[in-house]
Amino acid sequence: MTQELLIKRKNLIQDSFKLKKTQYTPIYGNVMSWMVLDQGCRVDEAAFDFETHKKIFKGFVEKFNFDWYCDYGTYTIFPAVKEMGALFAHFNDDGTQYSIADHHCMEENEYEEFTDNIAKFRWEKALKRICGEKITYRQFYNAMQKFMGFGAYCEEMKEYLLNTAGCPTVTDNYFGSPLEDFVNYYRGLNGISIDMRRHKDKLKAALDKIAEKTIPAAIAGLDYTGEYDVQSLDTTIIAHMFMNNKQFAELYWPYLKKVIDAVRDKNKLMSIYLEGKALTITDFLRDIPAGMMNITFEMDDPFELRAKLPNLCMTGGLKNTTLTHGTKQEVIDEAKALIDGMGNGYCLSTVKCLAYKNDANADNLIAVNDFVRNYAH
Amino acid sequence: MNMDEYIDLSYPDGYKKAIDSLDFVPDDYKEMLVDTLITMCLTY
Repeated sequence: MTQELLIKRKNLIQDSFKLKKTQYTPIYGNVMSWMVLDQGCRVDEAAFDFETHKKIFKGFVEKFNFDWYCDYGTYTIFPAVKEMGALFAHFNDDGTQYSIADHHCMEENEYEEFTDNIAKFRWEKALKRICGEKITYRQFYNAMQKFMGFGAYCEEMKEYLLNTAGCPTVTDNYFGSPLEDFVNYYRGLNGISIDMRRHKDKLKAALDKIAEKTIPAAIAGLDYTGEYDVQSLDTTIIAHMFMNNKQFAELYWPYLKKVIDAVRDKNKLMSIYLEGKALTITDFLRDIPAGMMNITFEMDDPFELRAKLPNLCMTGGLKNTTLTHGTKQEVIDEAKALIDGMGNGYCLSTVKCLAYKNDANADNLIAVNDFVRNYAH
Repeated sequence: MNMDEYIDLSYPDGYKKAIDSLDFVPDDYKEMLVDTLITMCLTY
């Protein structure tokens, strides 16, 4: 029974990615820390206790019954990071949410040093600036144990999804575009905004150096797709929100394009989580062959995006405001309009990842998921 | 090894010594896991 459901869901989702007609529209659980609050817990406690988070995740999956999920609780990585003396994540007073402040560990005059030897820079400069100079072997040892505990937790949740809930999984083959990695790990938003103007050539050289390792790794990972992974490669685009199209064309797209071409050549499927507005970069995406890519979009008008990119599967569209403040019927009506209007190659999900208390009303979410599962378009 | 000793943050000698100290991690995965842990520290 579980195996049948698992195969049915995997085919349903992959057929949608391939723009084929499906029995019903797949429903994507684009949910992170909201699941903790829905299960009556505090995020600052759940993030530091794998056993608590296992109960939360399983309770959440049983309650809402999505077809697949974006996340099993990424924030449970925090204990390992904290053990090292780092942790930029900051929880609010009542433990309902966290944020990560913009930060950097590389100065604008260190490009040559970085590009010359990234591993050396990370160990000698970056780690020291983030965690302090006095990291004991005990801290390092304990941090690695907690980090491996995080890996074991994720594997257990995957097993639960496959063998108990009948849900396919997302791939471990995540490609961080070099510029996204450079922002997240080294220069921060403020730094990169300056560097794109003042140090473009040095920045490009640094990105080339990062790509030397990350692109071959992502392409090699295409050959190790899990039997029940819905796609072979996953990536996120955020940087387009602070780049103009010329910058995107020079500093971002060439790297991602190489990976997309490899996905195409190997006849695989991939997903892009496209934060903010996708419409600014539709020119880059319109020539991607039909039926190989899903984009999870956020702020765009779904129908305008569909008209511009008929070659891509699209996931998203359901407004969080309707989910939170609307009636059950209003949420169902909105879902019906999306399914009817978007046609084949569409998966229902919310416009924003559910993270905060007021991102959704649980009863509305249950009602819309039940409706969609029984609505043939 | 004295576990209360500070890690040597020099590369490559200190890096290699720190990796070797993780006796519970399979050799083939040590470097990859350490690099990923560092990345997580730089991110979160």
